Amino acid sequence: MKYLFAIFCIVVIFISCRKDVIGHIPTPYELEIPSHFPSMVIPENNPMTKEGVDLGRMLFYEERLSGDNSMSCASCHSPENSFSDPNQFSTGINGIQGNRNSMALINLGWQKFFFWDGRAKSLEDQILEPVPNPIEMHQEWGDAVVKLEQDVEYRNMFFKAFGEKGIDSTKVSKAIAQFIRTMISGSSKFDVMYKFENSLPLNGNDQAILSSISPEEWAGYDLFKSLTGADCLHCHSGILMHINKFSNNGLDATFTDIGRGAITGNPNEIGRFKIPTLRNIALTAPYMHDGRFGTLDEVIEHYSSQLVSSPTIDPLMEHLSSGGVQLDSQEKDLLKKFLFTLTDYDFISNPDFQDPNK
Amino acid sequence: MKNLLILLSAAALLILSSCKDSTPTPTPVVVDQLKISIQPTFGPMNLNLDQTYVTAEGYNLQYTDIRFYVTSLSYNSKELCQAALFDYRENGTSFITQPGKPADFPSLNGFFGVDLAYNHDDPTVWPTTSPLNIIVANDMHWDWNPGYIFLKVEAKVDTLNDGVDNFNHYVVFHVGGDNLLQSVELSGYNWSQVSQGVFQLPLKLDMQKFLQNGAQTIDVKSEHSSHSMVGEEELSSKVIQNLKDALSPL
Ligand code: HEC
Ligand code: HEC
Repeated sequence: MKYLFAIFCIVVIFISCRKDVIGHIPTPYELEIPSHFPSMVIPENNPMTKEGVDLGRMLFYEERLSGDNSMSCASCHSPENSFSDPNQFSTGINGIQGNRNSMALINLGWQKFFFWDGRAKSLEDQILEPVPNPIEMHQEWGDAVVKLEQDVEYRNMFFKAFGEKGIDSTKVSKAIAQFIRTMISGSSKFDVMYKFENSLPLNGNDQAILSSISPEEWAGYDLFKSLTGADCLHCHSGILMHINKFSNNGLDATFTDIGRGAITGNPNEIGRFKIPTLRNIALTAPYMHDGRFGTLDEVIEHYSSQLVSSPTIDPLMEHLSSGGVQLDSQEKDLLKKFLFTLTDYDFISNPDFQDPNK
Repeated sequence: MKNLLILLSAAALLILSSCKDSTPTPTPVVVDQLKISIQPTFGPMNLNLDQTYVTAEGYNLQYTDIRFYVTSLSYNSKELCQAALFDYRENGTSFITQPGKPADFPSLNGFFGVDLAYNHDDPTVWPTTSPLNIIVANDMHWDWNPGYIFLKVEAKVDTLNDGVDNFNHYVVFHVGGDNLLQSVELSGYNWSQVSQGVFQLPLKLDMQKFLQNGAQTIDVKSEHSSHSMVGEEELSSKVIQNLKDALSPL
């Protein structure tokens, strides 16, 4: 009788709610978006879930994604450098170097294109690249998936994150994309300055930070925004500290790496690169697509006096004819002080973003 | 035992019926769509970005960017569209698509630029599809104050008529600020039906007229840059008036 009852129950549940029983329903993940940020558009085919984010974080630090099990995403996107690489060029598992500087992973959920040349249109697409790339992790996706499938913990985590059995590259990229969307930086000194100047409510902690902001930092901010000062606002503006655009900021007269031009084939786009965010900029040296500048002083000198003309230079580099915005040494110092306010220590030390196995 | 069986059958019935897809198919409500498109032209010709046109002064000119906001577009108190952003490079000629009936909008009034009512609001609070949302607005926003950039016209010019291409003279007009907000009126047009329930109002934006608006001309050799700063009022206001006047029913 007892058995009959049990079998009966199982059969009923099975035929009635079939799809729900075979799968597992992941828990929706509530993104913590700072109050002064816009809402984030999440792709319909990759909703944020707690299990997905946890899995993505594991995978981000997973060295088995590389051919010789020695390299993870974090090897070139390390937390203490705001998820970038302190080396000018990162070295892949075979000792080969690329010709581009690794990019800091900050607030990417609001971006529309990825890589210095914007060749990936979504985070999910972007993440498919580094694993098979011969100068990076150099491993066929098929081999990476086999390694993950051998691990029962991964089999379970994928099942819980996607509600079905099986692992493939699409699921790996979806999970990592979910993790990267949680990597939000919005609690630097600059954020308090932004809220204060726009009369947005400040909490107790913000108030304390506000009183620590020096007159030089405020003066540097004014200079940063002023069209007759450092004129950075044209390209590195707003709460995200960049606009979505490709631009040539006057680094070279001719180009060995033609950037966006190689993707579109449009001669007007030769030498244009993605305008990067300036958040956490003090932590992400070296600078520019090829990491040519080791310090912020060199970057400031570039914009101040070393602009180089080329046919595709951004017309917004309006001080080109005089070589740059011509800052004196005091102004350079103020500007640098402001750039330091963009550092968000809470972001880089956030336990949710660290290696889960440490 | 019998009772148990009855109970079980009832339970089974309940579980079975509770799990069926129970969303009723809604009867579709047919709503007319109103579309406004804008075709940039250079005099009688359709205009393309990055293509060369000759100005009245004989300069070779290539427009590289044409963008502007129109807000609070209404007839009487009925609003067709709160905010629209024309962006020729990103969106081509399409401008506004809204539900509405042609008869409700025999003419349209609004602002060329961003209505004072929104210009200094937090640019992050708008729905993610609104042109006023900072992610959509992108670089069409300076700061909460002075607010949105109402229009951007950028071009490259070869000012020397020497037969050698050298487009090294840049034109950058970024105009905004509450003082420069213009009212705009569109009238004397007919909505034309393009398909079942879809009505179109094609407009044109004559970028030759932008430079040559009757007596109000812009000589891009000397008048090539404005960011609407103090001291640039005259050129800024000419730029926004001329661009507004360049817009008319096709
Ligand atoms: C060998 C070093 C290396 C490894 C390993 C690596 N990356 Fe990168 N990453 C780079 C470099 C270099 C770039 C810029 C490449 C370019 O623009 O062509 C980049 C760019 C990116 C970007 C684009 C950021 C932006 O702002 O557009 C993302 C996202 C990213 N990587 C994520 C990952 C993930 C996820 C992994 C692991 C699956 C990974 N990377 C592994 C070096 C690396
Ligand atoms: C016309 C647009 C434009 C303006 C104005 C501009 N930048 Fe940039 N900035 C860029 C672009 C594009 C890059 C990337 C260029 C590359 O790597 O080839 C960049 C890169 C940078 C970087 C390196 C970021 C990194 O992650 O490597 C820093 C720092 C920087 N800019 C600071 C400034 C400062 C400070 C100002 C004002 C003095 C300024 N920028 C003005 C477009 C601009």
